Amino acid sequence: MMRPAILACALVGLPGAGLPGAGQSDAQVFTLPSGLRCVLLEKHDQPLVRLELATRWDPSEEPPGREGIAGLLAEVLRAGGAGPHSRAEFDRALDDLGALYAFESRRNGFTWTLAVDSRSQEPALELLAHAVFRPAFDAALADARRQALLGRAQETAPWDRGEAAFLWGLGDPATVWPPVLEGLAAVRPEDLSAFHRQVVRPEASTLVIHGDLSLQQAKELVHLHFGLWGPRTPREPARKGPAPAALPRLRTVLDDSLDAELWAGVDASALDRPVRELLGLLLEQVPPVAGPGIILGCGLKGERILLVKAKAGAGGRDGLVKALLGTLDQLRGQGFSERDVERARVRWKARVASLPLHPRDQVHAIQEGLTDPALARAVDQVGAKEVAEGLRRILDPAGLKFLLLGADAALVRAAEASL
Amino acid sequence: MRVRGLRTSILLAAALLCRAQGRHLPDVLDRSLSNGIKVLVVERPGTGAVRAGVFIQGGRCATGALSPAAADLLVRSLFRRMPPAGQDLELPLRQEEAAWEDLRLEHLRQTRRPDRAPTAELPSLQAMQATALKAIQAKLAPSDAWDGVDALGGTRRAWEATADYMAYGVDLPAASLKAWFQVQAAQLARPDLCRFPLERERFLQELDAGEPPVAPSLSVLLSMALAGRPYAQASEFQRADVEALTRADLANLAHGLFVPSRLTLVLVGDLEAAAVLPDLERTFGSLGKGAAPAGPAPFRDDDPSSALDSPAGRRMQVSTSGETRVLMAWRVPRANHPDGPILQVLAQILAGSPGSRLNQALVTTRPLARRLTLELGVPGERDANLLVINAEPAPGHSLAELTQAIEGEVLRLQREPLPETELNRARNQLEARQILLQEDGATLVAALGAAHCQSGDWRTAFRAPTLGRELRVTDIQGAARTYLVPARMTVAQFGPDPLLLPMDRTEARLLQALTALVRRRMEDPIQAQDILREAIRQLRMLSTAEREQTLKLLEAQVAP
Repeated sequence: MMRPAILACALVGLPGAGLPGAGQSDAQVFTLPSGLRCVLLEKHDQPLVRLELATRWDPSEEPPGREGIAGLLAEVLRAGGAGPHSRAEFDRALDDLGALYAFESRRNGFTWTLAVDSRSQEPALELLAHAVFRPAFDAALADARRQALLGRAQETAPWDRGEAAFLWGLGDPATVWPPVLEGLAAVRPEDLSAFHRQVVRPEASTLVIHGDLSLQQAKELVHLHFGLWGPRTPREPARKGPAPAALPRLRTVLDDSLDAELWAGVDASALDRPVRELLGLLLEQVPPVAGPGIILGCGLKGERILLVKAKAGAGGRDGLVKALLGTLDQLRGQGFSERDVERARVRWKARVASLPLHPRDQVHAIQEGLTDPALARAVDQVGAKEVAEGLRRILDPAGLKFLLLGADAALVRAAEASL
Repeated sequence: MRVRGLRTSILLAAALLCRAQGRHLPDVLDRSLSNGIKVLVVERPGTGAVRAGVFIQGGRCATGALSPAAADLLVRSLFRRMPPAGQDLELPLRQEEAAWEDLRLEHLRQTRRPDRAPTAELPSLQAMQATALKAIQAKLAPSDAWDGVDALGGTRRAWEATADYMAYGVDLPAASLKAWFQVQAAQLARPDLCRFPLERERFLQELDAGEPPVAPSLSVLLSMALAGRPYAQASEFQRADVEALTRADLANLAHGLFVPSRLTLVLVGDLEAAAVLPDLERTFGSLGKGAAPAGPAPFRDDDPSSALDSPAGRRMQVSTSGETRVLMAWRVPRANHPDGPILQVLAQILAGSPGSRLNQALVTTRPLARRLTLELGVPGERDANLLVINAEPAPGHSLAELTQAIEGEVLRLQREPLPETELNRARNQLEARQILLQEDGATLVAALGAAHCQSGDWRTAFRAPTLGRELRVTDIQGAARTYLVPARMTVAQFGPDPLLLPMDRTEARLLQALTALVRRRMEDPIQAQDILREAIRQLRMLSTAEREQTLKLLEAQVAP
């Protein structure tokens, strides 16, 4: 093992309180020479260590002609071997440690999480390193996962397909797009490996460590297992393919089941983050019941996509379009008062303050920059006028997109006439 | 010198044992207030916040003649938001109740009419109820935006009704804890159900959307597997039963359940137990005593309620419009049975992790199942309940094939020697899970409260690994042979009718050939359909090559 003195020279950055991005007064940040940023929150009250490594990229980095490669890569990372282990051996090694492991893919990145008894922190970190930057790319597995992906896409119900297409079109980071047949058919195993090298990079990743280990231990372990993960090739600039087709104003999924849903959605990422943080909480307070047979739901999905949903039971179909448009008008017209915004601010602060009770959420919040003191200061400055103007801007009727699910011909006609 | 060495060894061993046990059990202060309310406190200094949980013993199983949905509606009506201060809602609530009842009776009359045509009165009744509902909604709007718990800085509110208990949890700034005691104790002393019409509306919408609190497939399984037991009806959510519930019904239910002897308060976070107990006594301690419920009795073998055998092993096939899954359930004893920890280890070995037996054999190595989970304590743990394996077949594999494979793995566990390494792995996993259970404040509160409500002792939530140290492989096999037996098993296969939705092209052609053959010999169409269904089910157990060979033979027979 590398001596601590040598290790100290190899590490860039210093531990310290309140460093940007950490936000917690006891967070300690260090960066490996490769660019991998590490945040440690020492907590010794439980014999546990929790790790979350997130890597992010630009979705337009998918090579032209290989659309859907990110989805296939995620499938292979989820089902394939890692380092010297086959998948069965990898699962068994995790089981032997009693570790909880998860892998999540999203539109613009991958996240690996692992929680383990602190006695097993070293082998756990080694397994995590294998999974992140030493995955096995087996041609047979890649082909099987490709078939599974395509099979799943064919099986997906029209309702779910419509929902996914709508959210993807709005830019929702959490939505996984149904795979493109031509793009996937063209992907070879070496493409997967090259794409993995291109997007899973230490300088675009953050490792958050929470739990029962010291800064010295964390540095040694991270360097030991992630020290060899280097940006071997310079990152290629994203090659922009043809722009995706724009969402139509109204997308409908015909299905004459009893329930129908009408959604209005818009990408709210043009709003400043502090405004979005408060807006998300303000939208939660919109009353859910719009009248007999109609349930409303408002929210900011993934802190980015503003969605207003109206759902009608058997007795509410006729009033569905009116209920949704009424809610949109109300949001645009009345907006939220200074008192509403102040209350949302109190809620936001209370949620952040209670994070130490929920280590998993706390780790995730650090990844998302939610605990950054600069964000808290910016949230303090947000006023009702700013929220109202922002809301009016993004709820501009010309920019809204609509999704009608479970519709029959009469409902489609009514929606088309009104929207 | 030798004696001193021995003493040192004994002390060291004792210290290690304490440390080992300390790794599993949280440091819980366990007290009862003067009126009988149970209080469990775990101190987490430095977190700045407290997770508070209120648990009420008696959930969907304790609603008596009412629908189990009464528990869900009670917990939602009370805990989603606090009622607005200074608002008198009695008049609009009564108006809505009257309109709702008229509307409900009108709907009933309509269904009894031969033509089912609506009467001329229906629109006006609907309008009356809508107006009354809007009036209530308008009056509740201020508390939807900001209520007493918001004012205290409460966040992450969560509420649930289960078969055994109702629960409510909230995160609070440490400084607001005492104020919350007052607010919450007052709410329990005088439950205000003004949100009831809105929550009923929402609940009915969820039912209409096919999203009841318990999946319909599980509800079917429970009613059959636990027929005659308290849990059999605890997951039945019929629209008509929910529509018939009134605010008075819920008030009566609350009156019977919100008594100190049924209440447990769990606090985890930045607080000093000794400092909060006097405040708890002043607030929660002043709630009046009510009739004490029967607590979970210690387990006795001769108690008839402990009997687990079904009248016979049961199998059923349910035709669905698309859902394909098999639910295999075995009756197991309640939470405080001595075999509880052994069953936990057994479940862990079978399907507790990606590397477990069923996952390796049926999902990873030989992909027969697309998804497979195992759950213990379904739907609760105060009475005999179920160990349920829930599996969806992978494309190209039938439900029968998957069921047979699961039964094969269970049989293998009963008959073949269990390697010691597998037992150790399961033990390690359970040990780690129980440490993880203590990581999050909300999870810990939920585990402590649930264990106390279900077994009468919060330690039940943490007993598997401590007992696991003494477990031998023969104990696990013994439990498998005792509980996972046909006499205690119910199998429910849910899938589309093969006659309407053949699973692939080969099956469609097989069906065509078989139909032609059966028609030659039988005239009764119903009987013919039964034979065809059975034949298709049998054929689904064959491999693809065997099915294709059978198809060739059948088509040769059908050919003119």
